[in-house]
Amino acid sequence: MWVYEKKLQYPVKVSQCNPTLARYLIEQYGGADGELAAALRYLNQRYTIPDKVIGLLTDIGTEEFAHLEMIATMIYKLTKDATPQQLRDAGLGDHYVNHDSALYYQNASGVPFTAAYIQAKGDPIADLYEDIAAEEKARATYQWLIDISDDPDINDSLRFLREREIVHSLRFREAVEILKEERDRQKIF
Amino acid sequence: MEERYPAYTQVKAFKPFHGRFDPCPPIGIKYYRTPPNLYMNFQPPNLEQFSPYEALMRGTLWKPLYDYYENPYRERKS
Repeated sequence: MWVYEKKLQYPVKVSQCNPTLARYLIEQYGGADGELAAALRYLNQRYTIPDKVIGLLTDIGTEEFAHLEMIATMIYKLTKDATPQQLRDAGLGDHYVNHDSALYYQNASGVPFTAAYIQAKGDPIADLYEDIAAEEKARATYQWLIDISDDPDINDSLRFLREREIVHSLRFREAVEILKEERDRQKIF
Repeated sequence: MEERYPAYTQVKAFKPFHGRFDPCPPIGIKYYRTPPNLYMNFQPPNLEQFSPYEALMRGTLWKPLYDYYENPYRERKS
């Protein structure tokens, strides 16, 4: 069960009307290394991972939904008052034809989200290594988004999200270390 | 409290090969990040903390885990 707090994890402010940026941000919404893929991957792996790290997956998976909500807010704000002409000029003409300015789970090139982006191998080390890789890939995506965006307010929020990827990556590394240790295995000498 | 600096660099750089017939002018140096989590593996106890407000803004409570990012490339014409 979840308890919802009706606020964003970190404020999202947009300083320029720039629908093109929304088009790039979609990558973190419905892309392979996006927040949706992350949330679904971690929350799903919980069922078959050792008890000691279930809580970690719940916490991080939940936080990814908070990030998804921030990305959604950015995209929404960047496109909500754009005219069809402006969306067309921003390269969002095909999006407009299919979705108006509704958000959709797809990557920056318009490829719809698929469960094939995520894996649940059932092997705790394999799954956690995938999670570490996912965090590093999301961190890289945020870097490239910051590089390509010239909106200082958006970049401020993106920097926050990038820092969270760094922290999550370390937590997953720690989970691997916990599973490697033999602390509570019965040792008979 | 004394600020502790990491014993590693958080940005690495290399110079990609530029061929005589490459169409774009060389980008020169290519950068990649090596954030602090790579060097920690398991967070040791009692690390330095940000104040609660500052931690909320920066995205981490822990000073040694903070890594500010800025576009390393300057814009150019063509």
